[in-house]
Amino acid sequence: MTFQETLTTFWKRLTQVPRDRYAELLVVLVVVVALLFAWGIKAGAEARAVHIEIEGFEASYGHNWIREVSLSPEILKIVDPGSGGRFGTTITVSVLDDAGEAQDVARALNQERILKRELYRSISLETVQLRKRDLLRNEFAYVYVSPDLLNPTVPVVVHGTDYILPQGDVTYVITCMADESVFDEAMVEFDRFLRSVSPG
Amino acid sequence: MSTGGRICCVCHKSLGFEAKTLGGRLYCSEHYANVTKDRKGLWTSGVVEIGGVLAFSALVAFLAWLIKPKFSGTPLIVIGTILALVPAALWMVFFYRQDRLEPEPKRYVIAVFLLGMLLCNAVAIPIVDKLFDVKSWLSTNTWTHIVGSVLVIGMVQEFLKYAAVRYSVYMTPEFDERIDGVVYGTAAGLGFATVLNVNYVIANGGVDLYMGVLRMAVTTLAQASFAGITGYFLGRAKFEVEPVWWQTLGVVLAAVLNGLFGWARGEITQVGLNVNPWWGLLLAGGVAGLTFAALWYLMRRANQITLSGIDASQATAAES
Repeated sequence: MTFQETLTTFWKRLTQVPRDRYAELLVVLVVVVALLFAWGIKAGAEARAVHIEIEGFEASYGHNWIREVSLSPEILKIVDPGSGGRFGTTITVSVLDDAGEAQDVARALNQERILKRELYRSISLETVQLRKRDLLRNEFAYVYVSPDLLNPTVPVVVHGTDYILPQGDVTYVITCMADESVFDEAMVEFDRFLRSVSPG
Repeated sequence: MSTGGRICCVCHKSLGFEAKTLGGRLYCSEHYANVTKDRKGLWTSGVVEIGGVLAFSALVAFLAWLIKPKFSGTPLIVIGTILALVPAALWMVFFYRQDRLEPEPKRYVIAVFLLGMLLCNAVAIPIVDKLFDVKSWLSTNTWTHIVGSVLVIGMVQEFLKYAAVRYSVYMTPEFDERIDGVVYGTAAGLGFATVLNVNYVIANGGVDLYMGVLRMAVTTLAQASFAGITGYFLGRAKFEVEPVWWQTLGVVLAAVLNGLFGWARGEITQVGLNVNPWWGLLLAGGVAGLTFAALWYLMRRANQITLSGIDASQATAAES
């Protein structure tokens, strides 16, 4: 088939079957409407999410979370005030310089917490893989006793998970802690947070 | 004697009043014979492709897990790129081996494949990643994830695969069988998959062979399957008088499946920072197998109805 014949065929198809023209125009119209609708969803989602970038570390979290003051080595601390339970679900991100192997970091974290927290227990420590990297997951629990002596409350069992992520010269420790009674729900939120994470 | 502008809907040759009618369309005798042809070769190559990609990826992943090769830098990128090309190459080889008795013109299949690659790299990726920047908002919540995946990723990808076929080979006499929609749709889908896989390799500076090959297999099976659905609707649209919304239905159905698949794959393979790609491979294998079986059944049914004369008699009744 020559090029001219091909062009002629194209032209005939375009001009002689108006029904097909309407069909293809409808496809385009539906795609355009879908993308406009998607733009609205994107705008809504961006308004509901807070995107942060701290020292090259990027992540997003829901707008209803409250960002609290974080003390070094923490670079981010957010709390979900609507998480239920008596201990608000808390996510923290810490950056440790020259911290050594992930195992050493986990050991140091556990030792520090044993000294500072009531009945602290490391429940499991395992290596998991993210793309090409090995990282460490440390699961723990402890009893949270409110320091407010004027308004004493019943102590709470806090369940938490650390992800220890070596990245170049630094090590990120991403931690989620939640009231044991709402731990599963908290892990759903934590998953969402982790998926948005882009380490520096 | 005027034939009243009666032309073959495939080759556009003028026809007499004795022209064959099918689904309300007119055909010359040559193309009438072609329309209902059921290429066993296509189905065989499809089955072999699904099995071949699953087996190949499982084998490479197993070897990578066993040997733990220490590639880095350029060799890792080169190996990753080769792995990205393997699924499409497998399909081409199987398809032509099975289809050698009456093959589609190679240049058309390759042209649609290349067009799929081009549209993916030049249009789909910029729209999804740059314009919509889906990574920054898609994970906000489950509802946003599903709807966003369908409306942005699904719609953009499936529309472009549709366009790769609809505005190229579809308009030529080479598209002369219903099943050509599936053939060319699959070629466009494989073009998409190849670019997505190569991009993944380059963006990550090479890939871990174990994780990478499984991810590539998932992408390939999914992209080819969804494009096959759009192709089926296109094949029917060309040779039958379908409702105006028919082609739209094909694109929307493929987009919905694409979006849901993307979301489901994320849900079952990734928990927190843990990734288990085998679940994704199982899901993709299942989706590809089911899609393929459904297309085979629908195409066979359409051809049987046509051959049994039901379609022709319905058309005659409608005309009278």
